[in-house]
Amino acid sequence: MMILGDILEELGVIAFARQEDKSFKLLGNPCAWFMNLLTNEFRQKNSADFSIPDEALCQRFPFIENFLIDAEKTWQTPKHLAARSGIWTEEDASGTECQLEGFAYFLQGQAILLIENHSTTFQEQHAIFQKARDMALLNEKLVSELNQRQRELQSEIEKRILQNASILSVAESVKSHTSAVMICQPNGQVEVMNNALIDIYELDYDLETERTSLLDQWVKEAEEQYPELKQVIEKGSYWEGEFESKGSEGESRWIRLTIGPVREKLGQISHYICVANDISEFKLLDASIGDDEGFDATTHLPNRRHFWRHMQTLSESARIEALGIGLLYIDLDYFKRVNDDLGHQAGDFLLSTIASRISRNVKHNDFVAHLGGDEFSVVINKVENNEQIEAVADRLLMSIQESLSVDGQPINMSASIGIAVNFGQGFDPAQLVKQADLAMYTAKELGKGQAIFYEPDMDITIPRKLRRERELVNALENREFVLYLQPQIGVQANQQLRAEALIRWQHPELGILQPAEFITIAEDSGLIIPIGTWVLKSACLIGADLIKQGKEINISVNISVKQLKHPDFYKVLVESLEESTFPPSLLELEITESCFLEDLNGVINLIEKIRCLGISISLDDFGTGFSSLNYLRQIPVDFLKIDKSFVQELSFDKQRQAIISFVIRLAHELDIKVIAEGVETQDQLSFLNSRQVNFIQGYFFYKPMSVDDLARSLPKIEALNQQVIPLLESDTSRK
Amino acid sequence: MTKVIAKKICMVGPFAVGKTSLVKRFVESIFSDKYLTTIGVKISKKIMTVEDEQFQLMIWDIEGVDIFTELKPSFLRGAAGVFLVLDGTRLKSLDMAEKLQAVIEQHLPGVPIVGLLNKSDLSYEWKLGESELEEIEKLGIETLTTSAKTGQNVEEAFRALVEKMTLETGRV
Repeated sequence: MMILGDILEELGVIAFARQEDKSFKLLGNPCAWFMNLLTNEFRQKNSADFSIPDEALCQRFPFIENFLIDAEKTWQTPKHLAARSGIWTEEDASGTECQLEGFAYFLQGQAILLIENHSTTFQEQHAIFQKARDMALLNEKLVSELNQRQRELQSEIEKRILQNASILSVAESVKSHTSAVMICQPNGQVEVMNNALIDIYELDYDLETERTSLLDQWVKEAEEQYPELKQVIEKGSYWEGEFESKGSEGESRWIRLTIGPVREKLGQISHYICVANDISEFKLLDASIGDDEGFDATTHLPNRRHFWRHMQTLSESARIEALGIGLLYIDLDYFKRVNDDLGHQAGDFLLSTIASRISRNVKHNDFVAHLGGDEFSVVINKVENNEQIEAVADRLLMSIQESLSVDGQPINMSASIGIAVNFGQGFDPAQLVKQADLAMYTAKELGKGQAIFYEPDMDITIPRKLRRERELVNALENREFVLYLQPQIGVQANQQLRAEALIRWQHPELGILQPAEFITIAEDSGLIIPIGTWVLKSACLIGADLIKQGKEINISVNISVKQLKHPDFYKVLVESLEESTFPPSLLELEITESCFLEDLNGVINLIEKIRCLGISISLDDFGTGFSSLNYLRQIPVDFLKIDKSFVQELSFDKQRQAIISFVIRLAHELDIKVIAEGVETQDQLSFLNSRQVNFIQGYFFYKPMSVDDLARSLPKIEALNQQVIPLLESDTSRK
Repeated sequence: MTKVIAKKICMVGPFAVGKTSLVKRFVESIFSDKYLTTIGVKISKKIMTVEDEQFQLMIWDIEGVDIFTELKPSFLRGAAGVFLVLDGTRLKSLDMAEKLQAVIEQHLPGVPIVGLLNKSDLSYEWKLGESELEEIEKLGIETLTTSAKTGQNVEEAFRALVEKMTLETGRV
C-alpha cells in the first residue's frame, strides 16, 4: 500500500475511498498539494487515516460537489463507465493555482474518487490551447487588419507621391515594409519594388523593373475570379481582393492585393500603387480551423469572389429556366472623403453599419455582397418587373441616408445605385455586372444619391465620357487646347477694343472640338480647374503679347463656379497677371449667376477683392438661368451679358423683347453695361441697338478667331469700334 | 446576522470574448489586456448585496466554446443564472449565441440569462451594427454592453442577473 501511495503521489494523484457514511477516506499518502488546498482544520489531520466528510469536501470544492452527481451514477450503477470531471482550477492559501481533474471509479465493490493534479503538465497543455486560440483569434483579426493596413499603406504612399516626394525616397520608405509594394506607371513599367515583393516572387530586381508583366500577371490571375477587374482599373478606381497567383517556379500562392491609382493635380493617373501580401499560410490556417471562405472581414458579407460564384450559379440555373434577376450595384457617395477625414477604422465601422442596413432592407433570400471598398451589391431573384426592384432601391437609398454617428460625429451618407435586370433565359454575369456598373456611374453623374436603371445607350455614352476624360488629361499635357477670341463691337463710337477668350480643343483625331463637347466632362472630373487656369494664363499672355504689338485689347475670360470657389483662385489670378504683365484693367472675368447660389456674401467679397485689382466682372449667360433681377442690384458687376438663346428668339417673341428692354434699362440704371451675345441678324442688331445695348458679340460681326486672325482683323475691328453703329435695315457687307 | 444566500452563476460564451476578464473585474477589480485562455472551469466567489439580501455568488468561469471545445452541460448544473458573453468586436462570436442559448435553456429551463456584449471600450473595432443588434434582440434575452477593461456595466450586469434570479425563484 505504501508503494502504491508513493506511486500515486508521484503521479500527482490523490485517491479516496467513498465510505458508507459518504465521507472520503484517503488511500495512500496525503499529498502536500492537496493538503495545501484544505483549510487549517483538515491540514492538521495530516495522517495516514485521513478522511474528509463529503459536506466538507463539497464546501471546499464546489466543483467536486457538482461532479459527485456524475460520480454517484458510476458508484450506484456498477456498469456505468468511469466519470471524469474535466479540468478545473483551484487556488491554495498562498494564491498558487493548480489544475485538477476528478475521476470516479467503481472498483471491486469500492467507490473510488481520484483527484489528479495536472499542474506539472498543465503549462504545456495550456500553451497548446493558448496557441491554437491565439491563432484562431489572429486569423479572425488578420483578415480585417490586413485589409486596413494595406489601405493605410496605399494612402501613405499616395500622399508621398502627391507631395512630390522623389520616387527614390518613396522606394526607400517602403523598402523594408512587410507588405509587398510595387509602384508602376500606367503602362505597367515598374518603378518601385520593395524587398517583400522580391521575396514573395523571388524576383530579380534589375530584370523585373525592365519588364511590365507582374501587374499584367496579377490582373490576369485575379480576373479569373474578378472578371470586372480590368474595367475597374481602367476607370481609375481602387480595387482590392484575394486570388491565387503563380510564383517564379510556377508554385501557387494566395495573394491579397490592393491596386490604387495616384491622380495628379490635373487628374491624370501618374502611377498605380500595388500593395500585396502573401496570405497562403493564413489560407491554410483558415481552412484548418474551418473558417468560412469568401466573406468580407469588415462586414462579414459575401465578398467579391463569393459574389461572382453566386452569379455564375444563377447564370447556370437561368439557362434552364428564366429566373428574373435584378442586380443592384451600390456605391457609397463621398466615402473616400469620410475615410480620409476620420480614418480607416471609422471607415470600417461605417461600412459595417451600411452593410447591416442593406441586409436588413432586402428579403432573406436576396443575396447581398460587399464587393470591396465602398461597393456593395444586391442580387434579387424571381423579379417580375422593374417596379419591384425600384421599391428595393428606394428602400436602400432611404436606409443608407439615415443619419449615423461615428465617434460621436453625426454623418449622413448617400449612395448611388445602378440597376440591371434580366428577365430572359440565360444571362452573362459579366455583362449584367457591367450594365449595373454603367448605370451606377450614370447615377453618380446625375448628382449621386439616386438609383438608375441601365439603358443600352449607356454602353456608348459612359465609355465615351470616360475616354474623353482621359483624353482631356492628355490634352493639357500635349498642349492641345487653343484660345480663340471673339470681338465685341461697341455700339457707340470710340469704344475700347474687346474680345472674349474661348477655348477650343484641337483633338488629334476629331479636329477642333467646341467647349460644349468637353467642358461638362471637365467640370464633372475636376479637370475644369487646371483647364480654367490654363485659359486664364493664356488669355493674359495673349493680351500682353498684343500690347507689345501696340494693340491694347480688353480680354474677357470665362470662369467656372468650381474655379471661382477654388481656394487658390485669387492667387492664380494674381500670378497670371504678374507673370504676363497684362494690365488688370484689361482683364475681365465672366461669371454666371450660379456662382452666387451657395454663398452669396462670400462670393461678393471675393469679387470686390478682384475688382480692387482693377479687373472688371461680367455676369454671363443672363437669361438662361433664373435671371434674378434682385442679384443685379446686389452683386458688383460691370457688365451684363444677354445670352445667345435669348437674343435669337427676339425677332418673333414680343415678351422677350419687353424683358430685354427692361433688363437693359435696369442695368444702365445700375451703371452696368450690357453685352448682347449671339447676334447674327440685322433685326437682332437693330432691336438691341435701339435699346441702347453697349456691345454686340456674334457672327453678325465676327466669329471666334485665332489670335493671328484677330491680329490681322484688328484694323477693321478698330474702325468699327470708332463709329456709331447706325440703325440700318441690313448691312451684310459687315459680316 | 443576515443570511448569505449562495448562488451559482455561469459565464458562458465563445472563446476569447472576455469572460475571465469580466469575472476578474467584478471580483478583484483588476484587468489585464493579455489574453490567457481558460481551460476547464475556475470558480470565483463574491458577496453581493441586492435589495438588502446578501448573496454569495459562485461564479463559474467556463472555458470558451470553439471548434476544439463544446460547452459541457454538466458545468451548468445547479446554476441560478447565466451570463451569455459575446464579443462586440468579433461578429463571429455572435454566430454561436443562438446555439449556446439553446444548450443553456435545455439544461437550465427557466433560469435567467443575461447577454453581455463585451469589449465596448474598443469602439473603433465595434462590429455590432443595427442588424446584428436586431439578431441579438431576437434571442429574447436582456443584453448589456460591457467592458471588463473600463468596468462599464460590469457591476450592473451582475446586479441585473441577481435581480432576475430572485424574481425567478421568488426570493430564495
